[in-house]
Amino acid sequence: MADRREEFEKLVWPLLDSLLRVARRFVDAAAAEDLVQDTVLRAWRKMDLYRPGTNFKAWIFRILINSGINAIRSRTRHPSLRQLNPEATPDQEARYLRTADLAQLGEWVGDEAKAALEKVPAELKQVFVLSTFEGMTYREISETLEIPIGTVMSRLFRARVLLREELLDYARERGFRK
Amino acid sequence: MNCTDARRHLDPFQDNELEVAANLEVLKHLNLCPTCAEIFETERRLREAMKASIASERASENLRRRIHEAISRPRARRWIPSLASLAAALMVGTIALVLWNPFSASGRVEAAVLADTAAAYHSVLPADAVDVSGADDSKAMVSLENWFRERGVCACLHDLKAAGYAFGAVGIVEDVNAKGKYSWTLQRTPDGRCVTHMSVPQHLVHMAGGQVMSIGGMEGRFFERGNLKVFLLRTPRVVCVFVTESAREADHVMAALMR
Ligand SMILES: [Zn+2]
Ligand SMILES: [Zn+2]
Repeated sequence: MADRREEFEKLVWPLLDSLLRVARRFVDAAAAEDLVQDTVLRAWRKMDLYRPGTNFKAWIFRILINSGINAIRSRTRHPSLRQLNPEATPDQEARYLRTADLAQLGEWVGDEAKAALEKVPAELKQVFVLSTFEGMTYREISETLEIPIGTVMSRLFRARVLLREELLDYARERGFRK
Repeated sequence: MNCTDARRHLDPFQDNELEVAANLEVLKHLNLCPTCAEIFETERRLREAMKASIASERASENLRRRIHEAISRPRARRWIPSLASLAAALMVGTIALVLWNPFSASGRVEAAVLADTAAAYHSVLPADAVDVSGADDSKAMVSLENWFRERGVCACLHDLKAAGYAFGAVGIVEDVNAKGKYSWTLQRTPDGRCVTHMSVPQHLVHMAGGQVMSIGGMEGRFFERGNLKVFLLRTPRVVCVFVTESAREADHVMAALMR
């Protein structure tokens, strides 16, 4: 029993910061801690069902997202969200941030971007967070969320377009972008 | 490669997901085109800044301690660890359903109560549930049937192999009024998705409430229990209760049942 627990903890401890950071993108700090605790407990109870040698990280993130984040999502109403502009094409330079924008946003650009991320719909944000923050490959994300790789890529693309547009809006509000 | 192509590759390029040849093409374009080079560089810096902005978010010592304590508590219910123990497991604990009064005035158990019960037994195993992982050949199925029969339980062993599930554990849920014993099985996929399946003699169930549906011509009732999707299916002999972890999973299981 103690051995099993030690083995489990060996797998879980290195992922705890990551789990918390991902949870934090969906709920506030206190709720994120509860969510992570609940996720780890569920994983521990289901440990008999984990097949050694398979991707533990994908497995436990799936628990976090399926039983935690999606449950929260189904209880809360979606904020009104920006529709993705169907006209957006990759060749429009105006749709991209430029170095001047970054310079204007200043040293807090990361925090601004993190705040802008809150406006991205959860479905897209899940993919974005696992990719950009957790450094998961498209294949790992596809395993974790149980969606095809093509879907991973299209959600990532949409998440990034929305994020850029939020940041560009912010830049325009501040008056340094037309 | 022109600008439009290069920008289409922006995400997979930054994510290191491009094939070597495509990667080279992008690099070649970036060497020739200062506009795209600037866009790519800005994107890279934005990502770095975002990553840096969460670097300070760490699991607190308090959280680690809470988790450690929670998983150190002995579990009330245990698994008997091997298929070999199936035959040897002479005693099966049963637990009383004390959380609800499961019987309606009609003397039958309400469908909604069964949905609650099954959902509760999705995360908590019945006492002394037996681990039967690997029991998916026909010989094992016969011994599973006998196992329930010896314990006086009218069991349904719907297997969900068609949906990629294999038997993980079996057990018995006994209701507080001792009017019946319900079979309980847990099936799972190699990657850990679980379905709980209980079966209750048909004459004991009052099929009412929930969302009415038909699965393969049989009457079904669908209930949501928080995150869990529960559905009941009236077969000629028993009412089967299935607990799944998402709507998608429920669809998947229903499709397998219709096959
Ligand atoms: Zn270009
Ligand atoms: Zn059944």
